Amino acid sequence: MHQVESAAPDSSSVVAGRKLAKPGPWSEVGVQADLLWGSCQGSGKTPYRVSIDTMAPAYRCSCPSRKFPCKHALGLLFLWAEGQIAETGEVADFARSWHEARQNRAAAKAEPKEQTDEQRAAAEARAARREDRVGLGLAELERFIADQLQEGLGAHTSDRPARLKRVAARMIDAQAPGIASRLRELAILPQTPDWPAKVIDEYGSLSLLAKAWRGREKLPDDLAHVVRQRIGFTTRTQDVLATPALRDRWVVLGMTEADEEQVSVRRVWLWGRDTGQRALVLFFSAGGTGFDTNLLPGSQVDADLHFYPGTPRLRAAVGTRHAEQPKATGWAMPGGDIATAATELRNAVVADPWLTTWPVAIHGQVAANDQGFWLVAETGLLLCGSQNDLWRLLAETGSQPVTVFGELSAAGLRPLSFLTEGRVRVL
Amino acid sequence: MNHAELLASALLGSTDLELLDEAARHAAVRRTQIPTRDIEAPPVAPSSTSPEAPAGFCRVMQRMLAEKSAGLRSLLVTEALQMVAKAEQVIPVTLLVPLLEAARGDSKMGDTRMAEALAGVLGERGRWLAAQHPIWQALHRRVEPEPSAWDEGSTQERVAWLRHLRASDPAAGRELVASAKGEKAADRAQFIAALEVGLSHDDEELLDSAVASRSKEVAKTAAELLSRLPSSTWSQRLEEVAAGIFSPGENPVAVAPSTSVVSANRYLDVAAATGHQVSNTPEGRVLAIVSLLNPRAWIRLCGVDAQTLASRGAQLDGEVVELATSLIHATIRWRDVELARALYPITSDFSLLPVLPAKERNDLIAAQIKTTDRRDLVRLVATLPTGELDAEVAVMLMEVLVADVQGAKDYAVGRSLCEVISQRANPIQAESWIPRFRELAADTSLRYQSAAATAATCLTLRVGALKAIHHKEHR
Repeated sequence: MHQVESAAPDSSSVVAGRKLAKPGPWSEVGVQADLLWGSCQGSGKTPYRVSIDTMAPAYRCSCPSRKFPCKHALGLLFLWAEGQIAETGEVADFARSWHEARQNRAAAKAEPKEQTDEQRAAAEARAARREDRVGLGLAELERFIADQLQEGLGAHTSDRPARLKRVAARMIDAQAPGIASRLRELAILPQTPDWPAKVIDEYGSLSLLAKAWRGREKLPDDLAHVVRQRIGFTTRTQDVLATPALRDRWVVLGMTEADEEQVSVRRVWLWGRDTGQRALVLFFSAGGTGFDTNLLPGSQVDADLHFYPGTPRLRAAVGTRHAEQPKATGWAMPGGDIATAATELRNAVVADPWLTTWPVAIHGQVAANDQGFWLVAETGLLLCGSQNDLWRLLAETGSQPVTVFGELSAAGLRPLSFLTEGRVRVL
Repeated sequence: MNHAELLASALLGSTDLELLDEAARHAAVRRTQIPTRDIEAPPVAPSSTSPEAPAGFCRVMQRMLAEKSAGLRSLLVTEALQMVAKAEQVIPVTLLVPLLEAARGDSKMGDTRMAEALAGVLGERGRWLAAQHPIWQALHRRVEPEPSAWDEGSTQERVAWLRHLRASDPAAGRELVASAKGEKAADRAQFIAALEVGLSHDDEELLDSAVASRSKEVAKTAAELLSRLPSSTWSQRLEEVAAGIFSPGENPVAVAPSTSVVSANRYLDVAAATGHQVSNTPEGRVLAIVSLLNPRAWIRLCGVDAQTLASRGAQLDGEVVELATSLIHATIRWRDVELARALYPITSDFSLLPVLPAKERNDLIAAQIKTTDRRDLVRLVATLPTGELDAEVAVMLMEVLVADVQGAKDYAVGRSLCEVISQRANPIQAESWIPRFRELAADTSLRYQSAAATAATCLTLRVGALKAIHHKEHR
């Protein structure tokens, strides 16, 4: 049950999943080895077909939800966890075809294709063309920002969102999706009193990014990687997996999800018990394919992590998994003080000037007053995030000193989990 | 350049592109500025002295809280909280926030039953938490009020404190009501209504003066309470009025009381408060008095018992007036078990059943299942409170349901029986029916298939909560 709940993208999905955890809406239900399947009658004529690989775990549902796993998959998992689904000899067709396709993809991944010289040359030419396009696109962006500055931010304010969206579209053409995404966010900035500060801050950051791209050859390698990544260049996972690994007992401390344009992104935070290294593993899902993740909050995995290039070293891909524990226990997580966490954030921003949040663990007491929730460790640090999570944090810690893990930013600390009696409690 | 200068230049317009470098620098610095404030370390929350309900209970409760139907969710959660209280446990800390929120949601809709059940199992930690949330605190104050509520609280909080005080010190509560003479009539009516807690003859003087109030609401409320005091002056006046109306004899003849007597004593108002249909006609005034008078008084007044009176009625202006309905109201009002027992076979009025002990009600229902119309059967069983439907009766009802599968397949009856059995059966005895409901839920020909599925879930959760609470392995 705990693992099913941990797999849910948010608490509302757990609630929705539980509502479906009764036999009524289900038909064609079965389980065979690691494959679990069922058809769930929703409001439409055709039932949603759910297939789950319980070992991976991996999920597939024909519903249009962008949450992964969706409420149907969670409902089926709850039913299964309650022992209400019997082992059956015959696998439903839809589950079999999904399972076979997964196996084929896994086999294809296991045997990477050797590139021919021609293919390599073509790839290099494509990469060079993209760099040119990005260069032209960023030059256009710099002209746009200069024009905006010359006009003054106070002019044509009502027209700004449309202009920003147009430039964002040009950045997509220029194959700079990272820039396009930032411009689109700026276009929907609410008209709060501090909007001019936010706009000029972002213009400055984008201008710095364009400048850094122009001078990339003079940048240290790590910073050049950061610039590429912020613009939207990707690094192939197989290339990352080919780099040296860091083995540790990684504790999964939290998970957040967000929709970014056509893609949903799941961010999973890990902390190495032996090295103290922090890591961020990203999972992407597009077009209803679901996240293929088996890192459940609160669990521990003894695994090799391979870090993406760039600084500070944070984003990683999971390589070989040596052992797993459904619950991390007996761990005294090293929580620092607020000043140390602030220094860590500062150092991270120095290394990557576009970075906004940094994972930290702070030892303190949770308090609530008229101004909000605070983590008190000599001084008080404002806590941010969902009110429900913050009340839960206060209720469950009872203001006892605990180590709180979360994302630190200028908005405060967004708690994702805390450690009590050697166990990770995920919010 | 400081940030204010930078902003001013950017807003007005500038050709100096170095402003952008400054902006980038400011942006990076702002990203590192975290919001802190000098705050003293908070005192640590008290730990609850009673044991927490086991982990298994958390899982069951989470399923209950996820229930789609608000009515069923409330019923399940409230009952489960009462089970926790009975086992002398408190709510695990992980459930505090979702339960306080659920109770808040119910209270917003005017139903405080969950909040009341929760108050008893919050434990020290839960009370500490609720005290820090303005809405949870107000909810808690209403359920577990404090003296300051009388001077500082809302009307609801003041009433809650008054009721609380009356339970332990009725005289002190009475003094508070007396001291509120100058307050709004609507509030005074609510304060007087709170005197029902610990009501005694000591309250009579205050209530008598309130009956004479210019506010109809205050007078009506006071009269209603006076009517519950068997030997109050008000009740004596009522008996005197009744003696003046009815002539003794096996077929009593009634004379309608005057309107002024009826309105001065608020008889019609008080009778209406018990759900009696009243009208200010000669017959209506007679019936109102019959519905208020202690049924035991009839022997004294007319020489006939209430049962006889119910079957014969009385003569008024040469016409027979049916008194049975008014006597049923009086029986319920005075909770006269013996009379209820006597009147039920004559009247077959289900509203008499709650007066009878639960065991007797179950026996009556068992005896009537086969002969009662199915729609009436649902109403009959609904007179039993949650958890008091006997296993034997529930099995008989299940048989009715199963017979219905092959018979009329009445949607309303099937659905209601599913609800009644799953919600009112004692969970200790109910586990074996879960598979039967599941079978019904799988029968696609059944019109109340989904009601059977809900019944299976309801019973699973009720049985699950009970088992989890008494599961000792992990404690």
